Amino acid sequence: MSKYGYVGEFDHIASLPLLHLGDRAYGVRVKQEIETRTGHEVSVGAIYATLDRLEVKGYVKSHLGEPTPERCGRSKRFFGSPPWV
Amino acid sequence: MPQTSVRPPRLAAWLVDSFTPREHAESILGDLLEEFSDLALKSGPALARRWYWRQSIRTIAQMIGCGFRISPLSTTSSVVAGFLLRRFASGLPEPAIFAVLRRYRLFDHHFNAYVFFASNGIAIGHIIVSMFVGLLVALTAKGREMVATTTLGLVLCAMTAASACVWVTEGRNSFLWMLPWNFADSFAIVIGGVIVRMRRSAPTPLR
Repeated sequence: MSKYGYVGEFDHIASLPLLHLGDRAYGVRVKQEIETRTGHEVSVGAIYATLDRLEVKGYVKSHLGEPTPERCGRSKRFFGSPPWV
Repeated sequence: MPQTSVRPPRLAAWLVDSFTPREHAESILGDLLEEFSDLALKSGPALARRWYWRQSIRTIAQMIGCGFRISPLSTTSSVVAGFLLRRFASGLPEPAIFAVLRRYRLFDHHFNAYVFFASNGIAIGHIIVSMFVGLLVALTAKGREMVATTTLGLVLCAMTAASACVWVTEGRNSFLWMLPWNFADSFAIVIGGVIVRMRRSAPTPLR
């Protein structure tokens, strides 16, 4: 059985901004894209929970960026689509 | 990005940090801070704080769900084991306290102290046992300390509330004085989880 598995509606909604944003896709940008396009407020936790689930399934990859002073030294987690094999 | 001197609510940030897995806590808190700063500049600190609380509560709810999804067996077994341990251990404080009271003959020598320990002392003993159970549940939950202890605390609160409803419908209002102590037991379990979480999150000292 393929490792990819079933993808729900919100999984699609959360992953489409990754294609649009490319290298700049991190939590805040993904959240703003979803809110702009759906017209609904989304929680940061929902985005991370969904993208984390997609990462386990192999649809998404993430990495931690450098800490930034604007975020009091906290890193951004960038998300992206891995190459299909 | 222009910065503001307004800071997000510390309690909300601490709760998010406690409930979020360590691998995501830094980036989630950073994202919340970034949006909070933007919102505080555009719409004012009051609206930004309300937004931050709303986001924190929703994020914590998501993280509790994640805790069961990612490690369902580990988290559920910690909660069940904690429930059973508490059922077993809740009978221990009373005989222990009365054994000490008999040993030191407090009834004869210090009657007021005897009354205190024979009544409130047992309730305090239950709270200490509950905190100990919370510590053990958090230690076994492996990274989901707050999820497991909060779930166990909520289950016990729900059972306490159900018991209270039964007491009231049966006219046994005299038992209602126990309610604050029973809720305190549930809170003590969560405190046990907080202690373990804070201990694990503390930076390791350089050798």
